[in-house]
Amino acid sequence: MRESIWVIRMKNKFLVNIKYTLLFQRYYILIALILGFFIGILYSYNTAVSFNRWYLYYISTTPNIDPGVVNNQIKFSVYTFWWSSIPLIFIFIAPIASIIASQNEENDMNHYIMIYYPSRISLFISLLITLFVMGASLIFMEWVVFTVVFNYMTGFLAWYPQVFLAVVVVFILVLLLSGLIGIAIKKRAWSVIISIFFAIFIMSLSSIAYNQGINYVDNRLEYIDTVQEYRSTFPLIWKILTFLNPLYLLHEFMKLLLYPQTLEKINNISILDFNGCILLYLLWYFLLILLGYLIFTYKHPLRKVVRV
Amino acid sequence: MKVLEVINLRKTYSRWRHPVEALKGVSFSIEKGTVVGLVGPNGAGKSTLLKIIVGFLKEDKGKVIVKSRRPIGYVQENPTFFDASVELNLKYIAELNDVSLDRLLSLIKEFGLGGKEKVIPSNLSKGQQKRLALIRAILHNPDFLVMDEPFSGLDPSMAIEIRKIIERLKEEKRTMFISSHNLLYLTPICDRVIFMNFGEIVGEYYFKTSIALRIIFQGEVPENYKEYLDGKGELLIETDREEIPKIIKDLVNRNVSIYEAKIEGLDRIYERIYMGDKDEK
Repeated sequence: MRESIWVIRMKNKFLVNIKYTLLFQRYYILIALILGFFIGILYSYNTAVSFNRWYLYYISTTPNIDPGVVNNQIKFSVYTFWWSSIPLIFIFIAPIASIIASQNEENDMNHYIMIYYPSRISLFISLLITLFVMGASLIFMEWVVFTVVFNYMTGFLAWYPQVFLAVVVVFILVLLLSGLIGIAIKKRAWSVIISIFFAIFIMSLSSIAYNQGINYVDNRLEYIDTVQEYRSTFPLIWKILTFLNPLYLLHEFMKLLLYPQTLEKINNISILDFNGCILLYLLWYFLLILLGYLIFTYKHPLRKVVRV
Repeated sequence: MKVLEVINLRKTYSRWRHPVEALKGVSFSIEKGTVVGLVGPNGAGKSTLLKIIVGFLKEDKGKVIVKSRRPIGYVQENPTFFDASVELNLKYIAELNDVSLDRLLSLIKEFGLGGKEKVIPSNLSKGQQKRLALIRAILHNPDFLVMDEPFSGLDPSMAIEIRKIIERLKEEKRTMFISSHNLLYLTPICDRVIFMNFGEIVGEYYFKTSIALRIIFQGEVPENYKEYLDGKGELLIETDREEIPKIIKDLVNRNVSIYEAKIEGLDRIYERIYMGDKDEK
């Protein structure tokens, strides 16, 4: 029984909580990685095939190859890959995040641990770190798969680490949202059902809201002279409904990171500027963590023992 | 020294819709080194009380003060564990409490779980799960243990085994608060029993100072014993254990023929407390 887990024995209870929370959830993290790998392969293959088709057409119809055009198409591939694969991954991963958050609620083990270490913040942070590790490793797996497959199939390197970082931070945000459902709903089965339903609902709602907003802007294009005007023409109500799904921040971040924001390429304009995206992201983050912690605190009273 | 003080504890479930008052102002205390039993029918509020003491539930009103050198050891009625091996479950608690691996190993052996280290607790038998829960509760050498139905759902041999473990803990002078329906097992373990019903304490019984002595006799009852008559030819006297020989000697000196003298079991006391009213009706 003397093995590695004991060898890296920790004195600090906060670190002990993090270590064991990660250990107990390691299979879920593994499942997430496997899922990320297969979805990554599927979508990378699809994106690379589309790129090759475009490239063949381009070189056969254009006498002088413009590297800028090719580069733009690579950017478009990166954008397509992430924006098509992430919603699907979200629908699969949302229930896993809910399970991670709810299982120790359902079996009362969070309460039990607090007999020995009455620190709610410690358990809550352990949970956040688990979700963070799961989200970050999954996205990293996707990124590696995409980079390798795309390079192997097309011969071009789609290397955009800034996009990878944006995907990680936004994906963690949506995992937090699913985790919040898990904390709020004690029964694991219910939290899974509700998180799947919730994921599908907000994906559909934001997609409808975004398209409604774009249609509205398209109809008023003749009155728009600047990118700022374009953004402010997008009705606020559709903006709010769009960003009720924090995953849409990824959509905006990618446009901002990959493309110059000019009226010449209207499809590449993000409906929020960079500061707006960051602010909204921080607001979402703050709200989710605050709400999650409040629910967690409410559900876990402390019985402090008077030391004698 | 009081290890546990419960002051006017109140708890109501579903306060807004069909409220159920689980605890209606419960107050009591437990002295260091004593073993106290908690008895009562289903729905009396026993588990709610224990869960509030260990912090699984929050009280609506009242106060719980636990004074101890180390955290409470808690054995749940239906023990739950992390979805990981026996070994990892125990190591987590051990590491949080700075318990040595040697102690952990010796307890696993002592409680007959050697060879089960890699098994997921849900795959263990109910008895093994209870033993694992006991190991987990005493791993950090607590001064105060709270046990919710430690004998429930066990076959007799397993229940006897658990009882022996608890007896051993009593010998180690640990303070324990044990809720159980098994009155037979509580009797040799407890110094005192608290009876609960409908969220209230309805009686207390001290094994040392309030022995219920039943005497079956023939003859005329002396005047000063008449108040203890409990049916024809039977006396029921609540007394100190040390007074028993004196009482018997006194009755014999007054020419009362004693056929039988026995200390009433907890079951009879339970019967008197909970079913006494029915008999009277």
